[in-house]
Amino acid sequence: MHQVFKALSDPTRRRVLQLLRERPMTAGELAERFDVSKPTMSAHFNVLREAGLIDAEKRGTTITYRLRLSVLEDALLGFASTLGIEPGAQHRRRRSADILVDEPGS
Amino acid sequence: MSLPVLVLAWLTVILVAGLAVTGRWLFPEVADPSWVLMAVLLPSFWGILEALQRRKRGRAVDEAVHWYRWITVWIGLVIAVAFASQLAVAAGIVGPEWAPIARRARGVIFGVGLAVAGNYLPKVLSPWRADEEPPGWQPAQRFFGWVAALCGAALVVVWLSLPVATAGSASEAITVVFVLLTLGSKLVSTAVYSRS
Repeated sequence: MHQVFKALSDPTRRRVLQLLRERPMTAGELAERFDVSKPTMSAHFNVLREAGLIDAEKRGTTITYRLRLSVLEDALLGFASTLGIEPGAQHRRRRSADILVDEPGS
Repeated sequence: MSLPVLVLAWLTVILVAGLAVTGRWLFPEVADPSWVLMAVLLPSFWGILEALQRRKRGRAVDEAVHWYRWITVWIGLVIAVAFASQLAVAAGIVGPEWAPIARRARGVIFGVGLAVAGNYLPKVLSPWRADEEPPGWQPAQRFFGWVAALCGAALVVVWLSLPVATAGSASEAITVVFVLLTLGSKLVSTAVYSRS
């Protein structure tokens, strides 16, 4: 379950899952929808695959991904997407609050 | 002997006992024709799965069969546990005053069983390769999973909170809704496959 929470905590990975809800897609099709390098996308796909949320099928040089969400995981995805949960978000909010306090005149 | 074979053997014994009860060879007061259906359907479904497994049809089918096999084991366990409470009353192990509690327990167990099976159903891969999967398959499977999980949860709530007679009627209504939605989604998805 820890792996599922980790996988769902990232907005890029959640977006990948949302895209796969429509239909199975190749790694290339998914990657072109993100402004992220290919190795980073591969890392995201690995995290999702290790959590058992997607399935990867290789044919020649093409890898096709498809969704494997249980009802509970689907509900968690909806919950995380609605709340916009992301790793380190709390830390970043605290830092930006500190910066605002430190700024002169604020 | 592998675990699934052991569970199948055990399940068969339980189901044969269920058949004996239904056939009024044992405990005529708990005779219920639904057990004949269960006793025939589950082993035959298992047989189909095993037959599918013997033919090499690719990883997706193997994985689907693997999931369906364990869902069958789970449903079998749920039926067996539910049946045990009924049998205990009929055998006089517990008094007849426990009959409503046994019925309530059966409803809750069925509800939990349906919810758990429904939860995992969308994880079952389609028999097609990922790049050949009809577009309607995944949404239909997901819808079916949600319907089963929600109906299962509703059954648990109904059997835990309402009086037995009311819970009986409510659970029949939930079952009708479940069957209608399942058949409806199946018809829609079949129409989508045939178009794609």
